[in-house]
Amino acid sequence: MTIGEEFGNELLVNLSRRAESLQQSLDEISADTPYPSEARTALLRILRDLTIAVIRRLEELRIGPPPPEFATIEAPAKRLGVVLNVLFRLMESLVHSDVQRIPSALVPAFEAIARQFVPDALVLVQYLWHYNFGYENLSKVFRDWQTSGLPLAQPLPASLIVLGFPMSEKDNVLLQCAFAHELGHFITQSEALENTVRVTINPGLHQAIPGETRPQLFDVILRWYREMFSDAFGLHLLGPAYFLALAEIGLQGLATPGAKHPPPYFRLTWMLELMRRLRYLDMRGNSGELTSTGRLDPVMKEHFEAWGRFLATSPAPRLSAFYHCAIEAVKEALSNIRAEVDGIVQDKGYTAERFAVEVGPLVKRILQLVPPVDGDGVPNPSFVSILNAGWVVKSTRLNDLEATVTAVDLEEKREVLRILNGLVYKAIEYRLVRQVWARAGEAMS
Amino acid sequence: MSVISSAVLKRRLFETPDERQRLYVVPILDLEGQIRVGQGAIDVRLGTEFIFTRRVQLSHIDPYSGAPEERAQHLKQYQEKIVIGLGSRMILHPQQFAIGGTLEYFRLPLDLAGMVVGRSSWGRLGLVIAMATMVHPGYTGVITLELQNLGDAPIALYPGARIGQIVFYEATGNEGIEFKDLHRGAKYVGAISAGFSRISEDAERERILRFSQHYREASRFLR
Repeated sequence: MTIGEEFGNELLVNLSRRAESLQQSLDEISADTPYPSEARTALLRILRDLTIAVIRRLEELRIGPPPPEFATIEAPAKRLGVVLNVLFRLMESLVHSDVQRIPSALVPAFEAIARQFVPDALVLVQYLWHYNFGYENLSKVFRDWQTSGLPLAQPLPASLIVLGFPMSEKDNVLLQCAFAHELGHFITQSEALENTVRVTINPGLHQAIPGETRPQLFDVILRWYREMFSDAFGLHLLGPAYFLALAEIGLQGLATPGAKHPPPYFRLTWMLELMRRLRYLDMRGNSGELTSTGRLDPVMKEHFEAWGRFLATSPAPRLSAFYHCAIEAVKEALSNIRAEVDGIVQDKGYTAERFAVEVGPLVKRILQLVPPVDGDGVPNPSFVSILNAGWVVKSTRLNDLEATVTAVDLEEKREVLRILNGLVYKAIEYRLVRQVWARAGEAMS
Repeated sequence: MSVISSAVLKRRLFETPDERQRLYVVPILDLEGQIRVGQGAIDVRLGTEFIFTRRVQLSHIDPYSGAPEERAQHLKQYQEKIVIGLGSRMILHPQQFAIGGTLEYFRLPLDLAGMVVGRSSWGRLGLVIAMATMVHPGYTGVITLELQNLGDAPIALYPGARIGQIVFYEATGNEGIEFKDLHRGAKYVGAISAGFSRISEDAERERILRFSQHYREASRFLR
């Protein structure tokens, strides 16, 4: 009796159809990839191999006697079930990833950033139908695969990160600075920092809140730590662009107190303080009033001073005593977090000095309605400087851009935002094109 | 009307401090290859985004009929945008039409106009790259190319290939006009890729549609 007869051929036919439709989807995906990331290419190869293997195995089961390793009926069904689950899990990551009309030129840029820390990291950007930003490591899926027992022609990628981003914001290139936060989670996990934190933060907390014994307070703060570390990491990598992106996300109310994210008020306060420590801003005397160090131009200085005033005068009193207490405790731990991020980022981050030199000319170019990238003979601007220039325009110069295109009504103003995103995206894409062009030339010589 | 020489074009690209006077073309991947000495043009490369018509679902295109949103939707329904990355190619079959774009992004000063012209090397294979060839003073964005294969054999097109050239002319009489005067209400400002047609937004549509009614009335009166 064949497995097909035992289980009913219908089941095998269905499995076979699913596998075939999977193969068809793979072909469609690979046909529409503007700038395929290495992660996508690697996954596509592996998926294709595995799909073919599954189809062959199904054919064997359908037409002949069961192969010797299928000693019991449950084993092959379970094995195929696992493999198909893995296949569809990977497909899910791919289907909503950097395909068509999505700014996939960002993927190589973020992959390059990730590789500063994890040399073999592969990044896949997945778009989510709900409003969320996320991070996932596919290593668990790969482990499932290994337990399935099917041999693979392709090696599994060592570090594959899937960064999730809301589909509704797919054209909002500037908001994609949030990727740096998710990369921070990846680094935290890779570096196994949390144990260190438990050791370093706990004594500080007890010192900051004498007599406080509630364990949940410390649990909350330790949960926040992961987010705070990622915020510090993002700010080190992207500079003011990261603060401004997170402010926009926070103001939309994504993060809520009590959840795993700290309240937006606190996150912004902390990041502003970190910007001061990174020398983008300075503190005037002991008044707590922020001022510019000269690395930000006057309009940006005004913008951040306004943030400082807003955060210094608003929502803290509205937070519950519990969170207020937690904030005080965490402030004590900021130096530890900063020190850890500094240790990891060392010379790989974006500096205030670089911002001061590079961003101004790019802003000027955007205000001329031209993507801030040149061509032959002129060095490529950095990816982070392009993002920062975009944010400077969005935060402080949008009126100038609106005047350039004479945007008066609301619809025209929305159009200006579309143009700004287009210019930033195009600059990132052109930067990539120039790199590809140069590498092709080097390969020829 | 005289063609602007390569030497002047280079000056307008790189040595013009006045932003109003400056010609922007980014990125020029190979300066000497794209602006050759003695020629009066800048070679442009094929971009990565294309729009194809889904002919099997299309009875005809009537850009003036229906409500405004319907008209735009109608056009998009029959057109499909695809991306072909650098290092890949697309095949344009005989008589097939596709909308593409230049890889380069342009901003023309107010005293220059451009004309999109095909390269004879491609023309000899049967490829036409532009039907609406005029690039107006002050134009800002990627230049749309209307690609058609008039030959008998399919042609492989590679993004990044030098597909055509822009010849520049002096435009006079625009003194006193600002960029913003040109951009207000302009349909394709800041276009970063080949775009769907927005002909359904034409201001004259309403008047054209009323022609038949008024023509009948006028005819009755004349009788």
